[in-house]
Amino acid sequence: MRDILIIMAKRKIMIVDDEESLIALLTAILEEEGYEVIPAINGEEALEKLKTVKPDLMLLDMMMPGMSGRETCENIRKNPKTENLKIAFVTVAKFSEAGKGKLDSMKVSDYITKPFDNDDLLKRIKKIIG
Amino acid sequence: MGERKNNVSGKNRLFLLLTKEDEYVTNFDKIIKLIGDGNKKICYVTITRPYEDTINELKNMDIDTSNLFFVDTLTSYYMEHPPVDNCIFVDGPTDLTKMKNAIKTAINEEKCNAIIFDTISKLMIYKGISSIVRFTHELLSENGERKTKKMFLLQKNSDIEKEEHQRLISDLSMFADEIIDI
Repeated sequence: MRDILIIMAKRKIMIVDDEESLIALLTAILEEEGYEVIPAINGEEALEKLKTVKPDLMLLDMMMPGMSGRETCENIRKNPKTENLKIAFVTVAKFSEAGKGKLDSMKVSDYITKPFDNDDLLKRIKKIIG
Repeated sequence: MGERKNNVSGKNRLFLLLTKEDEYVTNFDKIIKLIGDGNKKICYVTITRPYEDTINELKNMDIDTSNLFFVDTLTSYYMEHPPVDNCIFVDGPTDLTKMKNAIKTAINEEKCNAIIFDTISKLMIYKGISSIVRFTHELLSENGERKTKKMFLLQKNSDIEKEEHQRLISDLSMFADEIIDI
């Protein structure tokens, strides 16, 4: 019974990134911490998976071929079923002040710059979803 | 073009300048003032016109070219050009790695502390949006390039498909300190 409750309590994080090596790295870090990880290699796959899974948080790469992170986020916000999904961008470059304003309007919870520190990453995730 | 009180400034030092294609050359001296004072040495990356045409046009407008260092992405595509002191000829606009290396040389060896990219819109003919955004991110995050002021010219009346062009502007604007519409 206790084991069932632990499984039910596992927080789900969807990682959306075209770099499979980064997905693998983040998966290892997050699963070690007890999170369940759902990978997607692009925005289109993420939107498809969101039809059937409900993650607690999405780590969304800004730079992806095809649908960019920004566009993926906008599409998520347009859908009433996913509009409140917590999203954190993952980016190489830092956002400008104007860019940060757009993050607020897109209801983005946080952004993580690469290369990231594992402890900092986990702290930020805990702050968003506990 | 409206008067601006201050030079552009900001953390990423990236500015998007929206201008009509036939107007930005005539406004070039004002663009130079926007990117910084007269002491700055500027790396001018050209995708629209070859080095020879660019420098001749600027000289005809009595613009001082002594503080400009060029990265020409067109000439070598078509012909051999003898080396010149103030220009690196890159094989073509499709190789962003070579372009980035030329910019790096301009910064490290020629001591350029500002970059004008003429134009990001034209680069879309050769590269997709995600490649251009990645290229931009690399310029923003690598040490020497990060400290330079970067002015990306974008054409308002671009012949690039409108929706694609707007997508690029929207993606770049997340990292741009300012978008200036001339």
